[in-house]
Amino acid sequence: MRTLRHFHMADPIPARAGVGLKPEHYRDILDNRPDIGWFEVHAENYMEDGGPPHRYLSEIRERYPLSVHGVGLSIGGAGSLDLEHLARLKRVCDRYEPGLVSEHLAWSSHDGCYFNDLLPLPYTTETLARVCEHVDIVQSTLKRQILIENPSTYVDFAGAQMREIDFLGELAKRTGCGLLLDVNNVFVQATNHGFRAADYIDEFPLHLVQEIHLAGHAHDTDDDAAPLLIDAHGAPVADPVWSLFVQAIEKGGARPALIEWDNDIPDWERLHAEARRAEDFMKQGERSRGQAA
Amino acid sequence: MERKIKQATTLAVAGAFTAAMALAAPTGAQAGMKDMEKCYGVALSGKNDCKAGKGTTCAGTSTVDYQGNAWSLVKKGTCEQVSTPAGNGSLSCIADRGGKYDCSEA
Amino acid sequence: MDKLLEAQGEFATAIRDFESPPPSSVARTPAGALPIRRFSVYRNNVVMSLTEVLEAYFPVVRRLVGDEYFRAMARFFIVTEPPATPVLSQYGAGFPAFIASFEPVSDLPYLADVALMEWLQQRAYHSPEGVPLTAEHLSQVNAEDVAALRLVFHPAARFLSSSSPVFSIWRTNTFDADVVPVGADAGPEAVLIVRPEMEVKTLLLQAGTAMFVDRLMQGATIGEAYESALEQDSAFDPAPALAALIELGALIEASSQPIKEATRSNGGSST
Repeated sequence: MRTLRHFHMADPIPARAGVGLKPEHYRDILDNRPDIGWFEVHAENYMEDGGPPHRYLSEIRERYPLSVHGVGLSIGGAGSLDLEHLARLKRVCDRYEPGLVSEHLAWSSHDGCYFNDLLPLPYTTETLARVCEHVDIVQSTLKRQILIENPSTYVDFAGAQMREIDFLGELAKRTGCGLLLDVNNVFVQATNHGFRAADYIDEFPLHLVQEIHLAGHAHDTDDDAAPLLIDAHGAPVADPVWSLFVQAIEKGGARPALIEWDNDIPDWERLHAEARRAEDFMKQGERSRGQAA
Repeated sequence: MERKIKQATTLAVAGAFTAAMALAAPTGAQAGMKDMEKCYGVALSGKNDCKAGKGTTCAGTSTVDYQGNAWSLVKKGTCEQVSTPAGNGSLSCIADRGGKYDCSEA
Repeated sequence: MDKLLEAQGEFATAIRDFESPPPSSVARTPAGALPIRRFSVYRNNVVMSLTEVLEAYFPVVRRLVGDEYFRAMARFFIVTEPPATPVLSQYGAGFPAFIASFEPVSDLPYLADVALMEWLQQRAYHSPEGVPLTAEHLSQVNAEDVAALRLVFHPAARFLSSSSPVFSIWRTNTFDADVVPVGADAGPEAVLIVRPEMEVKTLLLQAGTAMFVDRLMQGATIGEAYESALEQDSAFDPAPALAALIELGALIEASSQPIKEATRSNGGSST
């Protein structure tokens, strides 16, 4: 029988693979206590007052390190930050004491209306100032550092003044936030906006990265019939994304890496196998890192 | 709104209460359930995700203008199995509706 | 002045209006065309993901009208009443009322109440915890005090009284592969929804029991509720009803004092 381990506030998220926690897998996890590094939840799914989701998550939190990933704070919103929602996020963090807390470089609310999608931002000095202001408020309210994730986007902005990578670097520098590198998003962005993904990884401030995301994407085409990738989280991680992951580990060292699978959710065994695959690639990246050193 | 409770009521509920405690005790073997028909709901899950939906560029993009009598979608579910005194499960749809709506063909 | 705010406002409007061009802030394609397909990814993500939310919360409504019809109806709702908060488990509160006023489904007069029942089940699922009262606790009440006792329901408990056979419709559409026809003889039905532990349970109540439960949830004493129930059904027996409420974990407190509004649980309203 596995020994019960109790994780608390100080529990860092280990540099291992974790998976996004889905209700479909609650019972499998509690019944079988799989050997997996950690879990991540979407904060918004745990903002109600009670019910089974909290009971399951509390039990899982007793046994595994947990990361909280916000999907609805609209940090890139031009309007003022939704303080009521921030208070909900704080309650989730106070209750579950996550090792990491992250959000997206995106907006999703406007004028009291929530769009349930991560909408794109023009990378301008005005946007940067607004996002910095919001990240400052979030970090001072939560009394902790948060990580900001690079997005997948489908349109370009006519008035963009800087590259995404520079925007994120400047954001981290000004606010002291950390970064969450979503390697699938890098691949999606490179395809959708025409740059080399390997260059992006090469240039990314990896020392600021405290977590990596991995996911599958879907294929589509844009107005010119050119490939357009969609960040659909409904498939295994694609081979070129694994290569970018190995490249990031080789250059920056091992990091907590998460498999996100939110559409067409597979059974637990399949998801766990994908996480083990991530750990194999992480080891491969570390080995090359060792040889290079 | 307080009402004067009849003496008969006081006696009746006192007796019923004692009986209920016996029924509801662990040895009462679910006897109280007879009065209520029981069913279990299915588990629900959280719906907040950071994924793109299944939509991509095509699903839901074809827009049809269901204006007025153009709202002609036919209900293809189980509603025809329900016929209540207040209204039968007719598959006909009311067409007269002002305003403009977009409906997915996909 | 605030260019970002203005641009996001235009972006938001374009997402909701399917006939508008992409917002002006978005770059054109290399050939100078509007990036309609690219922008439509956002429109579709928003509408499809929220449709999926409604599909998950209203499975019986969906089965009753069919997938295609449900999606079309969902889009009307999403465009007219988008979410006001990022917590999506709270999205759909307005759907039963929307259905009630949606003319194309006025030939299905039960549909709005079926939707309300599904919404109340969803609310029960996410309600705060409560420690159910046991028969042992209640055995300590003196017999002569019972009539003046008021019962506090578990925060998850919800009551719905419908002029339609909502329970029969819901049950067959939830559990039967081939639905059992609900006939013209089916009358009004009332349900109690509880979630004592991890599962949401839905119960069909007889007319007398329904009145008894409804009155108790509104803060009436056991004596008052009993008298109302008797008026509804002269053969009403409160013993099995009380026993069932206890067994179901539907009660958390018994008090001889009037129940404060704040602690009284929410009966049939749609919140």
